[in-house]
Amino acid sequence: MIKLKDVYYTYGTRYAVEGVSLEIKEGEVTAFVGPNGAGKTTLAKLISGIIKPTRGSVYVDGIDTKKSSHLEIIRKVGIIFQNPDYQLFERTVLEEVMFALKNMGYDRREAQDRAMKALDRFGLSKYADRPPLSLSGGEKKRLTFAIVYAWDPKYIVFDEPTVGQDGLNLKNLRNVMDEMLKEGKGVIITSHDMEFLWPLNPSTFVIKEGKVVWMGKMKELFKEANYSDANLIEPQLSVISKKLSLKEPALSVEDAAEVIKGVSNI
Amino acid sequence: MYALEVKNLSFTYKGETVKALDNVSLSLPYGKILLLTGPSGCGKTTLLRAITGLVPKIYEGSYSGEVLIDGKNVLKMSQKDLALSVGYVFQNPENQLVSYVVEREVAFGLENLGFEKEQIINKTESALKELGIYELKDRPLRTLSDGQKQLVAIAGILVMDPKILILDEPTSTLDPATAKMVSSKVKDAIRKRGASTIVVEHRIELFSEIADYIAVMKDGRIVEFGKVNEVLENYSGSELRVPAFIEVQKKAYGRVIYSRFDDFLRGLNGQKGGNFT
Repeated sequence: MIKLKDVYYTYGTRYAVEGVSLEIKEGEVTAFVGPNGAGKTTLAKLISGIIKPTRGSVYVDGIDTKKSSHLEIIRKVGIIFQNPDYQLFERTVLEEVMFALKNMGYDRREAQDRAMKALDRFGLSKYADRPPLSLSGGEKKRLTFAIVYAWDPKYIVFDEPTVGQDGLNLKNLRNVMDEMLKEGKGVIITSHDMEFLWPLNPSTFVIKEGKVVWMGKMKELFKEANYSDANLIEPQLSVISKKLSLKEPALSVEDAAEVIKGVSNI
Repeated sequence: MYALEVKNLSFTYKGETVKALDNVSLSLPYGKILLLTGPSGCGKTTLLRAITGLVPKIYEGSYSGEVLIDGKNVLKMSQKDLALSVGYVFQNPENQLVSYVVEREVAFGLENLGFEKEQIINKTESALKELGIYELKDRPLRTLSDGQKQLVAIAGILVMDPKILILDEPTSTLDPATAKMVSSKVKDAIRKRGASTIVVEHRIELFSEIADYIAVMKDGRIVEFGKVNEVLENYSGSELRVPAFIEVQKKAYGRVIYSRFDDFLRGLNGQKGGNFT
């Protein structure tokens, strides 16, 4: 479990995160949602140990991130940033995946084995010798998944994973997340893409001006009135469910269609 | 004659072997709105560059076919004619804004083209009003929100009355609620002006309701073209992110009856699902 206890983080004099306490469990999806600049990405960085709280504590499986090395935390919490170009810098795709593994103390042979398996898993082994920046946008994104997958962290943070992604990439992303969940990993997503998050029904924290203003399962979020000031757009399936007066909202297209078929006379 | 005609256009960037555009043909009648979409790297940007003449003037390579705006070949137009013909709104307004105050920013293009002062004042005022930002006219640009900045950038293009308006993912840098606000104001303004428009957008639900046509590109070709609901109804590929309410209709009715979400919801009137299990 990842625990945040009364966490503050400041950039200069401005609070990016202000008094946040929350828990994140493995084996489920957790989402941070809210407007641009609300503090979602800062929370993602705090959780993965890239930055340490100004005040308060972040515990990853009981380890205080302030009292441990970045490497110790990143072994448990992998983070995938929105823009893959910020994350890629090695000469070849294979070396890119091996870089973190070597830093974690794997010897060259073991690092190479793990890296090749990860590349294979994401359909990239044929590009092993190519420069990472020569890959297409979708391939680069898959490469960042492979990099993190290679060291098998218990929690994976996806920072705005759907921005600029076409339908095919989104389907792949969803498959990757489903597999990670099956393996019992914790999937953490920062996003304002409600249409993508809705079918996952994540444990949701609505973040506004650095604070948690709502928490609960996403299917409950739009039953209440307090989402509009956080710049969230209600997913279409939620709107449709309300129109059909469903007691529990439909989480998938199939569920909504079944209900309509049962009552429709078109 | 069409507002825009692309005829058998093929283009390969210098030093590349794969065609970025492969025999693309497209016609946009006056006053119509085309939603252009497709996966990253499919050739959308290259097509827009060709419409603005940047391909092949700035981005060199092997070029065949032609692009006509209002019947004139873009490669034979003067820079001034081209500037008056094509209005291009970028993804990020910061790439486009040059002045200090909103009103001056919107008037900038007209001033450069030597319009008379009274015309500049009138045109600027009506563009600001159409986009619902007239009250911001004296504000310094740096005090505006991202959504307001994008509306100012769009006003600065609309004011020139371009023959073709190109919106290149105009809301992709905005958060969804702001994107919805900006897109709805832009839709109103386009409708009112009857501007011939191409909108590039991944999130097709933002513009699908006002688009007359949708074109889907893949590997440098146009693989789907037609009315929005017809294309989405028959679409079986995976590149597009089809809105949930369209998918629901396909599964429930076997076809797409409503291309607008609001109309679909109205169609559900009187239907109650009761307890959902």
